[in-house]
Amino acid sequence: MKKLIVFMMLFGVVQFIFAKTENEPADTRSEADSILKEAAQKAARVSEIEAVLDKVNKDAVKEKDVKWKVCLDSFIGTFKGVSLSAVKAGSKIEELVLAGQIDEAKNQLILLRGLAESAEKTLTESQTCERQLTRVDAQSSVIKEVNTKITGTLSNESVNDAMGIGFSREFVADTDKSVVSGSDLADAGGVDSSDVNVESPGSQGENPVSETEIEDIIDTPDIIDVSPTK
Amino acid sequence: MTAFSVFFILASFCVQNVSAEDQQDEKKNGFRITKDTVLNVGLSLTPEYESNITKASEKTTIDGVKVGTVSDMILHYSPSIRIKLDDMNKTVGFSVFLDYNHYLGLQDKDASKKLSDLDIKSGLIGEFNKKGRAFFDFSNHFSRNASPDGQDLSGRHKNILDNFVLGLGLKNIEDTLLMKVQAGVDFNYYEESKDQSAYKDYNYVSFVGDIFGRWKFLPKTTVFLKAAYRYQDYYESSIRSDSRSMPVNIFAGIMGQITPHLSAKLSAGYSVSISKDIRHDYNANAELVFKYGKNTLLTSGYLRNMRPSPYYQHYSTHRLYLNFKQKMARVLLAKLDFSYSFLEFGPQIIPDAAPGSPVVTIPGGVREDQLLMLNPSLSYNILSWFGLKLSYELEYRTSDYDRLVVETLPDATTRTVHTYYDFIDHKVLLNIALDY
Repeated sequence: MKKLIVFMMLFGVVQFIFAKTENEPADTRSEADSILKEAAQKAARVSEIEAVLDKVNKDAVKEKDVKWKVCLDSFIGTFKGVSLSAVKAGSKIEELVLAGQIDEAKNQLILLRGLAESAEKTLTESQTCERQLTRVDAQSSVIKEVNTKITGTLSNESVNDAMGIGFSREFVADTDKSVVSGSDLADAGGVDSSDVNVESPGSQGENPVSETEIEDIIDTPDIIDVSPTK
Repeated sequence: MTAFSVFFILASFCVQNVSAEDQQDEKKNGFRITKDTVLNVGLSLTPEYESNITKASEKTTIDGVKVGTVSDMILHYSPSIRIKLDDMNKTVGFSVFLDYNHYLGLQDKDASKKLSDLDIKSGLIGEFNKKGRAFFDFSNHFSRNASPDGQDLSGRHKNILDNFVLGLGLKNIEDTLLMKVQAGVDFNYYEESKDQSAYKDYNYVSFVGDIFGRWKFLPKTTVFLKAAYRYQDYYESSIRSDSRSMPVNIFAGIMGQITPHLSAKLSAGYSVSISKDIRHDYNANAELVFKYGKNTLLTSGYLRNMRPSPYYQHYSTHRLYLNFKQKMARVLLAKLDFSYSFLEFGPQIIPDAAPGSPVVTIPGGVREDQLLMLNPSLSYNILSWFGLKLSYELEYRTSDYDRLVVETLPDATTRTVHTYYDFIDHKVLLNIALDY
């Protein structure tokens, strides 16, 4: 019995000693992996922000919006330093981890976190740059600068709706199936459609299947919002 | 009776299958050909009873014998197709609607069966660069109709009308200001003019142009200005040089929402008819729209305008109108349309009688007509693409216009036709419509 107790104790001591030595490198590896992973994420985010700023800068040049471009330049200038430091910190962390200098790597990661935070702040601030709205091509000028307070964005906010046009168009037996309706860009109660003074038309004719889609498209924000004034 | 039973069973079956989902899908009808192209196909069957199929006056006589009126039952078979490509920048659409009128000849087979014919309506539209500051559009509408609009020639005549318009619009960045210039041509032809020369006086070609502007200065509210001219030439008329005319209309107004329940339109302007004589006039439209929620709409108003006329140079219309619509339970629509029009015709042009042609006498003086229209109806959406409509139409016209024609027949005898243009016509229609 005594022999058994002594054997068990020795086995426990041996297990304790060997387990400790084997687990120590595993913890260190896990920490190193975690540092590397976070460093890669932070560096990637900084690169992403750099790409976004680059695209916005190109848009400003394309739209010949001098005011916007000048404002963006001040942020982009600052950001260049941040981006460079972040890239350096990222590669240094990798080297330190490979050299097994985990504590040094941790310090560099703290620096990289600060740089990434700074990059996010730069992006946010760059979005406050005021635009002159000088772009006059068809795609943007009308969509993004429409005075929706007055014109509305949906059919039920139109003058036609106020005049009761299309009120009962969903009634299939009550609509005029010989008419294919347009978009009625004038939105003026049908006044524009006749050469004489006429009453408002009671119905727009057909069930405007595709017009519903246009409303949906307008609702979804592919419209470039005007940046708020700085 | 059998047909009614079949219809009743069909309707009952469909009612059983109505679901909330079907009703919500009401805007999704149509076959999607591409992402932005939708094809709608329709078919409707409409039995109609009409009390006066030729819209004839009871006073009309041939050699002193009253002709009388003829009633009949008509079956309308109406297939239709609409196809539309619609995206952010352009819309191109085409529609064709065929309506074969099958007169059953219940009262007088000879008088009514020959009226069985095909009516056609077709439209082609295009709108381009819709989101741009400058946009362009065109439309072409063609119709072959046995009951043409127009107030000169009441009755039933086979009329072909084509209307083509080109437009160029400009709008500001905010889309609050819009200006549009349009030019077009109308071509009107009565098929009867092939055999009966009197109808040639009504065939015309019109060149139309206008400029329109509007400014939205408040939500749902706009002020507008329009100036339009029309040059109408009755190109085959025996009185062509006197009947051709050029009406010009200029009017401005304001329309829009006053409160969430009340909207209004006020517009007025100047009209002039330049024909054999020159007539200065005014035009006006005052309209009040009352809306209660999404289910009740009441529109009433007064309208005055002036249009060209082949024998009277022009006619002015005073019209009082009222339209009421009430939706019930999302699937029922009750409607009542009422209008009263007072038509004042201009100075009459008296044609010179050519040697050997029928002697036509048209009473002189001022011609004044009154027209009363009443149209209550009840529509029922069984499904979003299948509906029924039961309606009644009353058209009552009084006119001091009559036409006395004394013609020599091939056997050297003469025939005197005295035509009056006042009539009353009742219609009852049941429209069964499928439109997907």
